[in-house]
Amino acid sequence: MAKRYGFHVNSGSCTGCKACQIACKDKNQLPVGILWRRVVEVSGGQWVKRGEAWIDQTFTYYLSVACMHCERPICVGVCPTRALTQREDGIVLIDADRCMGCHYCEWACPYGALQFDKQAGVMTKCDFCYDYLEQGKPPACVSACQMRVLEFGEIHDLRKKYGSVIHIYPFPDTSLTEPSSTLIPHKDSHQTKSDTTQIGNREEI
Amino acid sequence: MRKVEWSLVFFTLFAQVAIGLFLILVVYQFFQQEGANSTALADFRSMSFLIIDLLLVTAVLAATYHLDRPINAYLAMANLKKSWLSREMLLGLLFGCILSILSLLSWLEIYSPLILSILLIAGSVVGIALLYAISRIYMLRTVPTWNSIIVPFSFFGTSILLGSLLFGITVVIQPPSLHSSGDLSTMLDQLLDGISTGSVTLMFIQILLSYLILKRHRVQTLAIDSSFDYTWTRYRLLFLLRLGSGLIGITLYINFLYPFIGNYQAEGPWGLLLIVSFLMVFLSETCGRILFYASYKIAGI
Repeated sequence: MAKRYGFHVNSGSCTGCKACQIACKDKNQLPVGILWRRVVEVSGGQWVKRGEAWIDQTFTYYLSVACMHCERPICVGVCPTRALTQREDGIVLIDADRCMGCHYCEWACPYGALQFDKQAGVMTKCDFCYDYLEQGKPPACVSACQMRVLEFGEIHDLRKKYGSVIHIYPFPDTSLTEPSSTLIPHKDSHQTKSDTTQIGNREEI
Repeated sequence: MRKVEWSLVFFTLFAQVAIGLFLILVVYQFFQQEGANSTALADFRSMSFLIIDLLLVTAVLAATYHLDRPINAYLAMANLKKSWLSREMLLGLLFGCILSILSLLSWLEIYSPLILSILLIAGSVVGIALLYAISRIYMLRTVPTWNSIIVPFSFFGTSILLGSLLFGITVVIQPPSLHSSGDLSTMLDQLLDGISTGSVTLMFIQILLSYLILKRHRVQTLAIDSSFDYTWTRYRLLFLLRLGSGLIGITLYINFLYPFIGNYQAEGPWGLLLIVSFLMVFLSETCGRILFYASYKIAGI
């Protein structure tokens, strides 16, 4: 069985510094408005009065998100021109020369991985820095993370080490696309059932 | 609303009304088999094919406009195994080819009942499959608001509703020869009567389906901005416009059509009035389609 790559994110230790986001943008020379890796800021909770005291029950956590190179990639299935393909090692790539700019993949991806380049008129996405992998180097985002929140590796090894990714806000149910990713959730991610939970930087991502 | 969605609103509506008109025409043609060779009926078919062709061309233009790199559209059928969009392209192409042959035969005045029947049956099968493919495009497992049987029902409803109303207009604006063709007019009476009754029911169903699509928007349980209340507050004017223009349009349509049934010499600008009332129903369906696209909510980021 071919080796399949995946990412690991330790959300509990992520400070939201966005070094991964910038490293990705820099390495791939992405134009303004396109972020293959984004840091999502999730916040919620409220101040609660107990007796005479006000207790802070607000929370914020960060999730570094890029293409999950899913095991059942919906983008590959819906693309009419076969511009999107999945390699044997699990990496999902887009061939810009085949893209007709119908945006169907953008509609379907639950991780916002497909990003439209207005100038080129085509979709773009994270390619797992496969050129770096061929040179034996880690992806740019992983190298840049000073908190060592991001890791990459063979997905079966990551799952053995960290367990399967769990369903936390704002990620969808993993059974939809079976993302090749593992995650250590932030300690406050269990609070997201509150109505006040929201993505704080939607405009940015 | 983004550019991509506006063009798709018009693509889906024009394609659906074209298929609907074709299907009603086929029903009429087969119930009227014995008169298939009459010149009046042939003229009526030619005019209907011309209207369907114009609708299809408009739909194709809208679909092409929505592509950011239309030069690569020739690759659109490369993923027939998995992509409903590829299948839609193939079925659309087939439907267009069948219509082109039918139009060409009409133009050349070649009337072969066998060829005509084969092409009409093939066109109906492909047309129904095309309607289904268009609706399946939206039934994505990652988009809970759209991943519902409501979508094909709603799209089929639009097609039959607008198609049958347009058929009524096509009949009314025909030259008197069709109306005075004995059996033909008896059949038309029955069909137009059926359209009048059926379209009211369909209009109510369509409005109910629109409401249900909006209601599904609360599937996403966590984010505040996905609640039904939010959607309702934001789009209630559009929904009310859909409700109002749909009900008024259909009432006027039936009102203007009834004097015509059984009395083809009825005097008055019936054709123009029917077109105005049809446009009101079309506006209602356009609002419904805008609401449909507005209800998009991904199960994720």
